[in-house]
Amino acid sequence: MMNQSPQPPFLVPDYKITHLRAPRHPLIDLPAGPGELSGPSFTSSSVSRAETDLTRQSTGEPIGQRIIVAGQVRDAGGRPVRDSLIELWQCNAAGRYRHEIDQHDAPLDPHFSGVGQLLTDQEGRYRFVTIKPGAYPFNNHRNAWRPAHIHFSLFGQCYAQRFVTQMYFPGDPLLPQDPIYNSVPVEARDRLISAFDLSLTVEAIALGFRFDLVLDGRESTPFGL
Amino acid sequence: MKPQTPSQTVGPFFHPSFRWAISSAEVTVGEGESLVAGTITDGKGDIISTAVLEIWQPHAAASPRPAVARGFQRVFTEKDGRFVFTVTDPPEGPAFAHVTVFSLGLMGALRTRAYVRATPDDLKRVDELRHVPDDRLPTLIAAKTDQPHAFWWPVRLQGEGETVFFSIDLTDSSQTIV
Repeated sequence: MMNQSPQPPFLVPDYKITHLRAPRHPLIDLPAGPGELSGPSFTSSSVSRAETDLTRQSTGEPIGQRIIVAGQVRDAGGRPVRDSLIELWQCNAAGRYRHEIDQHDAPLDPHFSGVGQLLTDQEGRYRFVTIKPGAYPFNNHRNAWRPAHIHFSLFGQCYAQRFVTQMYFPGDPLLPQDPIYNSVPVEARDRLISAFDLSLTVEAIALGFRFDLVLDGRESTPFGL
Repeated sequence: MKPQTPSQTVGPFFHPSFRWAISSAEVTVGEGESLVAGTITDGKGDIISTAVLEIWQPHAAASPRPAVARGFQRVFTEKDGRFVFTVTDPPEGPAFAHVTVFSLGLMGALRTRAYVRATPDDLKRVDELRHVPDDRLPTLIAAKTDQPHAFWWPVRLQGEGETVFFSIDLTDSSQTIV
């Protein structure tokens, strides 16, 4: 089924808050014009070097397992998505977000904001350093826990490519019971799970996980990639 | 299956990462600009205060804040659910903004448009809106208020008066990203 969509539906019965927020009407086709095919452009002045290392934003180091996350962003035709702003956020190793509405009973880390920004390079590649986020409870159902995840927000190269997702970790025992992860068609779910990558690790410093992304874009190219 | 990465919800904790958001108190309107305010509501008509709107207008002037990309605005819904943004008149054609909505409880981005000073008949003449049923065109139009440069545009995610949301297909090989 080559043309099947890997996107989750808006209405997800097991994720309760979608019951009242999912549009009931199908999305309406909008042919892409100049406005959809252009978008805000970000440059290196939009990000600072400090923001791509979430372990070096404070006067001390955050607690937790240091990890390197890296990957490549391409479009559906295989073309690298260059100079795309990526915005990241995550909770700390204890499972607590630095956000006023997160009152989960887990400690804040004075040396961790969990927030970062970076730009993809000319090959669509990115790399950042952080600590592995913990799982945290959320009140969807009794004893519900979100698997460890890092939020990724990408601008791509135009308005129509704008995209937000969550990156998960291999072997997480919470994945099978997470309604948000499981909303994705089963054949596409593993695209959200990063791969442990020994070649990305730095000996005695940090583990490495690889996470590639594919955004919308022209699927056929005359001469291949 | 198509190769794209699946989307997931933004959740409730995006605010510190989504920089450059302007509050309603900071939004100003000048010559050739209109103010659009509104709320986002759910299927029961209840206010959603966990949402973010992103506004894209390729022709808009640069922001007074140098770090913000030209043509781009980001606004959070406030505790009362209200949002406010600016629509700049284009060099030609109807004035509108490309809008993206993200929220806790939405599994992906919702894309729509906010037109100002347009009627449903005007929108029937807009070629790219040809797939929108006539009776749903008004959801893309910000209504006049008693102030000439201010408009009211409620976004309804579900239910009566549900806002039109678009699916944009980039697979047409005749289109290129600018």
